[in-house]
Amino acid sequence: LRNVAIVGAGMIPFGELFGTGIKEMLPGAVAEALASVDKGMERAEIEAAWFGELTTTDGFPSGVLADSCGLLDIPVTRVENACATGNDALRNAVYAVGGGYFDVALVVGADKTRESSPGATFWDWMGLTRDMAWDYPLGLIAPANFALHVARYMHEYGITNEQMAMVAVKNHANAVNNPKAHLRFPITLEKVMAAPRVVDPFGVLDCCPQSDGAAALLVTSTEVARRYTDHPVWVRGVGLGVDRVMHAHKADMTTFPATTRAAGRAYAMAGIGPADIDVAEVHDCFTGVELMNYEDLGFCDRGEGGRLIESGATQLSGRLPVNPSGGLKAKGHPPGATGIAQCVELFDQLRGKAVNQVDGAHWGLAHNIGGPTAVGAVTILEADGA
Amino acid sequence: MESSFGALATYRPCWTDASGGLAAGPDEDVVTMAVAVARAVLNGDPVRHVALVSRQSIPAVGRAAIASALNLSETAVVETVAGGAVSLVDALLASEPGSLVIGVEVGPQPSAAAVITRGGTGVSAAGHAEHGLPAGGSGGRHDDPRFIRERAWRPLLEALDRDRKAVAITGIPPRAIRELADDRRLVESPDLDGAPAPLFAAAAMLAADVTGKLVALEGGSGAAFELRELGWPVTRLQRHETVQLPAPPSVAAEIAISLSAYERAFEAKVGLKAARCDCGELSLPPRSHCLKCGRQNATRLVAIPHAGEVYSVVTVRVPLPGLSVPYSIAIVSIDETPLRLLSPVTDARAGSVAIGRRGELVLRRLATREGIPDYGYAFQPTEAVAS
Repeated sequence: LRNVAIVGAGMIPFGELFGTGIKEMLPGAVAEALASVDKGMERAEIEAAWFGELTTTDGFPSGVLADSCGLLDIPVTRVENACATGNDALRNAVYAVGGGYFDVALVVGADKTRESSPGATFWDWMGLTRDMAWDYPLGLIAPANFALHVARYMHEYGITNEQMAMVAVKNHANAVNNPKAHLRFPITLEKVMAAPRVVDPFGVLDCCPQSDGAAALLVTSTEVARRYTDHPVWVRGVGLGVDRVMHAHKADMTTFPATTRAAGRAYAMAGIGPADIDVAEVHDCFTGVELMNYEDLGFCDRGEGGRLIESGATQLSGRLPVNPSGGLKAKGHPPGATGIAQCVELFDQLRGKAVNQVDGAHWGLAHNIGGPTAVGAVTILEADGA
Repeated sequence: MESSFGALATYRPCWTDASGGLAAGPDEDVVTMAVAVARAVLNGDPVRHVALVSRQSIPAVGRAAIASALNLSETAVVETVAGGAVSLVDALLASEPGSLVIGVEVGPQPSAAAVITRGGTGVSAAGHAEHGLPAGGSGGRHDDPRFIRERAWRPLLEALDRDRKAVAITGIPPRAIRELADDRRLVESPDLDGAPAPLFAAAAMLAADVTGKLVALEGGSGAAFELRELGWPVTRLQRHETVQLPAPPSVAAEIAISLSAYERAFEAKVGLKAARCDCGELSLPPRSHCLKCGRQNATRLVAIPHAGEVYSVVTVRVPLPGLSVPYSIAIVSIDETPLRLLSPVTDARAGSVAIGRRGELVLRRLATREGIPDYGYAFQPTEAVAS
């Protein structure tokens, strides 16, 4: 097996892109990624592509990517794995390049959630994630899906609404500097806690937006990486984990076993542990979920997520900055693009070029949890050089 | 004709409409109200025949839903009768011992009542009368309350009163009952009409220790029975706290259904039954592959307890097409089993139920999907004991 490098990364600004279709978003992200390659890369050098998209927009996804980006001569595979789609698309490309089948591969993630009204999108997603007879008609929309976990988590560990609100305040503050972020405004604890309720215990400012967006990575084998850059970022660990699909079957809802399984695999592959991570982009679709992620990823002990955010450790100035891009909460959440965009941020962080640069960041971690909280993905990246 | 009461139960919903009157809940219909009241009179004795009497139309899946929810044997018959109070009295007097007779009214005076009949002479027929008047109270230009009262109900009552005056008049609107009663003393009974009314009146007679004649009127027909024995158990299902009916969904939307998925799930979902593997492992929804021992298709459906406790609960407040908000949805740990069920919270104000609350899983119409009622179990919190 060979090591795999990321040599280029790009994304279009996330937002409600009503005026831009998927066939324009995809070439936008691919062009940004190609333009970011230090020594240049021609489109024709790409040998294969993986395309992560949660919901089909404007028809057959693999074909839409190839057709819109001028990539008809290479194989294209669509990956769909709920909100873990982006990091899973990267994982599959890493296996193909690491296994020696290709030297240069493109990984694209995109989704167009605002092609329909927010309420209609919730029903569409329930159709993707719920048992048709038992759960679908009950209205377990995406925020309720996570709120059932967070409500129990708060109950068992005494997590407060204020601790959850701190996640929103932190991630919004980080997004202000990020020109690619969907929500670039600061907020206060008071505003978060007084915001209209969506699904208790979440107010609207505890929730990530429904965004449109696309992001792309160019990955290569060790053998050809230096042809493209002197500063590659190395993919050291990839992990995917799953869990029971019905909430009634999740024995302990204060944790996401899909995350712990994914993280265990990724840490083992990278040969490092949580204490080694310098910067992380984690799945903060709802504020309380970021606190649970701290625990599932090993950044703190069980039940300590509230105290970790209070300590300031996960702020930009802290010992382990989390979501310097603004996270899903403020950068935005087009599910297929989300995991890829996390790696775009880490690519910049590990090359010292991020807008909210974490000094000396060497190890980065990207994480998704999604679907009926039944799939998690973790990617661990390392900067070049010791 | 003679019969005897075994046990009797009455049910009234806890919801209120804009005028403050009791109303059927948004998740209640003739089937769910029939099941609610029937469960209160069943004590494990085998039931061979169920007669469900209602003026409302009963959904096509209604009989199957009742058979599943009451866990009836395969040979039991569920019969539906379109009719009101007279039809109910007829069904009661004609029933064999061990029959379950249920009356349901979903309309403006929603209520349900059920009785298990036994052999004996506790209740005996006391007359039947027909009048040639095609009065049906169907509304519109033929709906003339004084005409119907004077030319149908008064002559019917006089005919049925012949030997002995009734102490209960039931089945017709409460106002007409008061007008026909003149100065006679009637047993005090809730203002109800329709099929359940005679059983509510019988329950009132039992509560007041009053024997005597009960008259049921319905359109151009009348029937009477004599309650001759007292002392049968009566269960009264009515919650102390009322709950305002939610506004209908702000945006109407069809909730999709797969008939195949609906049919596969029906027996377990409507009957609240888990699969028990030969190794003892329970699964809900039923699994064909046992996760404990690995056997395939070695399971059978078993009824599980309805009591449970909230493991987690959230309240959805954001508008959603096709659903009334706010609504609470819970994960309920089912007593005596390792099982949990995702259930909407019912018969309580949204947001009023917390983790740890105890309650019952009750059959409700969880949704109407492309016109088909989707029955399943909602969580009804136990009420604090009234002080």
